[in-house]
Amino acid sequence: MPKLTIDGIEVEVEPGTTILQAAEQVGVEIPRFCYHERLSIAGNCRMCLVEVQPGPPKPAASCAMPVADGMTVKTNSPMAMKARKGVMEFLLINHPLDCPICDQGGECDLQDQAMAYGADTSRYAEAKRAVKDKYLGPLVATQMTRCIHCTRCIRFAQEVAGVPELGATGRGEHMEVTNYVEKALHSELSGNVVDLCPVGALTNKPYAFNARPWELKKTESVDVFDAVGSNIRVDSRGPQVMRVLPRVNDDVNEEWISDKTRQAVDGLLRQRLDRPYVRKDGKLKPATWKEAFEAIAAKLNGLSGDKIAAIAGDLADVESMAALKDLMTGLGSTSIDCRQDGMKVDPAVRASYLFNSTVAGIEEADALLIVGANPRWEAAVMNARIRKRYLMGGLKIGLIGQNVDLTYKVDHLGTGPATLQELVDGKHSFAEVLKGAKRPMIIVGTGALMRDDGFQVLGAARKLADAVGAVTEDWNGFNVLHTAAGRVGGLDVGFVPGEGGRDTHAIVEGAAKGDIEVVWLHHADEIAGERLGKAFVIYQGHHGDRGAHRADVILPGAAYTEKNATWVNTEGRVQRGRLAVFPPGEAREDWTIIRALSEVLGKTLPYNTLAQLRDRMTAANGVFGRIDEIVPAEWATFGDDTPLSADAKAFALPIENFYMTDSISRASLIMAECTDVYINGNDEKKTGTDD
Amino acid sequence: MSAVDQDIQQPATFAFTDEMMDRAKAIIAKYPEGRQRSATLPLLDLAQRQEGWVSKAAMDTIAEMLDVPPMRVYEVATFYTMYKLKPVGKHHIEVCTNVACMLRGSDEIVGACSDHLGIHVGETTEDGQFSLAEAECLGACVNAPMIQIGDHYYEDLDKDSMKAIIDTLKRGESPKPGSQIGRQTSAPAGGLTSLNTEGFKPEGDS
Amino acid sequence: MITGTLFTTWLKGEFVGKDQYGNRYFQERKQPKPGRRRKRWVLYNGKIEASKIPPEWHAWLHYTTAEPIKVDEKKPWMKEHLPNLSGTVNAYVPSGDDRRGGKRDKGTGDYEAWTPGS
Repeated sequence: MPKLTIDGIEVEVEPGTTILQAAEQVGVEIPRFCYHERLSIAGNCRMCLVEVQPGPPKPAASCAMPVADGMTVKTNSPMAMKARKGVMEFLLINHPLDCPICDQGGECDLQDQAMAYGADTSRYAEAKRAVKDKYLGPLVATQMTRCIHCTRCIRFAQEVAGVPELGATGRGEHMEVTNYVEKALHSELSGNVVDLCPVGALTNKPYAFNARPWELKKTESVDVFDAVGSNIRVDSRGPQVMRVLPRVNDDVNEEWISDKTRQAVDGLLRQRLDRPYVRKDGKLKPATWKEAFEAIAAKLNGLSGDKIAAIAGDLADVESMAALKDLMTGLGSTSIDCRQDGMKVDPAVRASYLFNSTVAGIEEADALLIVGANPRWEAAVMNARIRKRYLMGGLKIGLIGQNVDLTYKVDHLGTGPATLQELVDGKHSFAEVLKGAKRPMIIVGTGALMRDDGFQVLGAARKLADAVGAVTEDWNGFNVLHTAAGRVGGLDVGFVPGEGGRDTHAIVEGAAKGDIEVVWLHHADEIAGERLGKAFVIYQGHHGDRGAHRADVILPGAAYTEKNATWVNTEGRVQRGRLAVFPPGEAREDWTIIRALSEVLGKTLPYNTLAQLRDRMTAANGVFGRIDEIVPAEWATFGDDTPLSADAKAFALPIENFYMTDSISRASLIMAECTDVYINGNDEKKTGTDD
Repeated sequence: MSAVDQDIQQPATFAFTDEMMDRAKAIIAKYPEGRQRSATLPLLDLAQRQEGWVSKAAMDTIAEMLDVPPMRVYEVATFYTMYKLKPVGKHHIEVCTNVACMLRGSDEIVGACSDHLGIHVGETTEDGQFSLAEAECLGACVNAPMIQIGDHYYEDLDKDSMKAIIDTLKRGESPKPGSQIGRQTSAPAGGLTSLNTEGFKPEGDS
Repeated sequence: MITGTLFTTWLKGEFVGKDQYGNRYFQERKQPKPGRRRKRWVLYNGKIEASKIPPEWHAWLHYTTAEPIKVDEKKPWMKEHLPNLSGTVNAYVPSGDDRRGGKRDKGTGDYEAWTPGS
């Protein structure tokens, strides 16, 4: 391993490391614009110039120069300082002096580095160049005059997002970063170019001119728009969430988040349930908490437990599900289910519903089979990880289900269960690929499990995993890709039918027949109201979405940014979301509502604080005590072993519109615009005053 | 050129003619499997030969043929000024105005073209036959002043010979390329000044 | 003490002028000792309220100008002097205040509440 000295500090690093990376390891900061640790090295901004000996007597670009044994690097020598100062002066020649009206102000790399390494005055008196702004869709605003041509956005689109639509046209003074065709950037990750841009050329369009970074309160939290559990930072000002940014977590989202995660938060300001409602004479009337609780108590009083049921939805947090489960148990009901789409997994076997290989584990896989899923929409950030693995080379990917563009090449093996059965029977050639692989991966999507033959699909996938040796001591290649943030949490906390209890399908059926008289919809918005017959519906949630319209009593809860809650992502990683702003109006944190109601019902729950409730969760299932850890799940037999029917219908995808999947994103105006642009295909720049 | 020029009527589709397609295939076949994008430059040239300029449809077609994202072709086409992204005249006259030609009277040549065609630099005649542009050094300084029309250089020009070339083109004939004063390539204009005696032998060779 | 001021005015005061609101301005009759300047003061017309003094007299009173500013011609951009109205019924209230209809522009944290349809 080469040994070198950086600013007098001796360090030994892996061969092939660049000087800049080596400097980072010893804590020496070298300024940079174009270099980004997750993108390829471009070496075109020249900001990272340092003095290297031995070598030619001129500064070298440290981001692109590999270390060599015996090198002496000086990052603060007069030569390096002078070189940086010169580079900075050149960069500023064509950079407008519009920081006061620039949204990047306060979090701008160019601003910071000009302060730290630049000259104090400008010697440039000539005319600056101006560049026409480009259209990149409804989420990214452009002021291309500010662009310093670092090409980070171009490399991101090409390498990470897999949509090589950005490029640099022209040359020299006329070089411009553009997509040339004035169309929206066709990626679910397009918002990340805003974070990557070191200057204010690409900024967040919906957030334009709304706030300055120093006004914002930063709260570290977890995303709930898909089941990946991306780590996010919620930036709020007063009572409003202004924007959402990614947080670095190499095990989950690296440093990307999907556009829905980033931009759907304007939905938190619309269609909010801010007070309880009670249905009187067929109409929902505003009520006090007391009235709402009394209405529920009046209905539940004396009702036998088998006539009560609860369904938890996609945005339900673990705490409130744990409390609701305890309350239902107190009421004598075992009909509870957290799978409102009716997906079939085995709650008793944790491995049957987890993404066992883990997201980071994708990088170790050498063969991949995707069954009935569209990771690009169901887990956009994870899809970027699969693409990253694909670009490393040597990964064969097979797809059973709808043939969609996943930004990497896949072998489309078939559309339905018949193909999966062929693989299980070893009749398909791709089975050999999986067998030959050291670490094969099988990803089963929700779309394949929410069918009537879901258990058979689950069983077939399990058999295939066993047959190809996907489960070994240090590797588990069986994966379920969930779409709902609350799903794994619900399964882990045991929010599933108990003894003699009904599952979602049976609850809805029972309600229609009149066997179930009270249905508690806990953040559940995907159950069609009219299918619940004459049942008394209690809806707890934060948006006036589908569930609220059918409700007889509405209990206003808190959205994910408004409560301290636990979320479990599809890998089974337990993460904590934190309160950034308070729930609006009369709305309250969800578990406190259930705790308060339990007292009115005379079934007081045995916890008064969040800590006590969490202790109880941990006692019920040890994983809740292990925050941010992966607890490997025991492998066991699960699923239905009956072979899949050869003429079963093809796998359908659970998501029809990436931009609208839950009550928050359905309320968001920005997501509505994205739907228009990306789903309805109006992706050309609008003319005139529309823009 | 940072975006498709909205003022230009872009053709909706583009297809290589059979003859051009054969040439394109031959070019692509030169490169090893997986390196087809190397054919971007020659294919753009073919498209320009066929259409007279490179339209967006042509770039899209080439991108598809080479299996590269269209953006990568746009980048190449906008980088090189010899790819015309706007329609130009059938005879695109490029007058070198760099220092050697300028000293030898290239301004006069530009003036002659302007007068004779009734257009300014950067314009196209109404019939679409001629367009005029200034070019940077084309590397024929010995024979300055010079111009380029299509694939050919016309050198050692003056006002009259410039006009004569235009007239010849107007008649639909092809003027003789190269030096217009009859010297052979870059041989001295006034005849040989050395090596002009018979029986020259290298020194020491008796 | 208004009585004290009246006494001083009678004893030492020299009338200088009167503004459009009826406030009367005085200065010491005698030339002061070297190093001191002539005291200047005002007798308010009605309630004692410092903001009642118009700018041209304010300048004189605070020794910004030697003579009170004469306003010969009223320019179109000149506004009538207005005393501080805080604490009176005419005090300024922002447009979002209930006393002015309670309607305000959208601000941070405003949300649209859901209401059940018909």
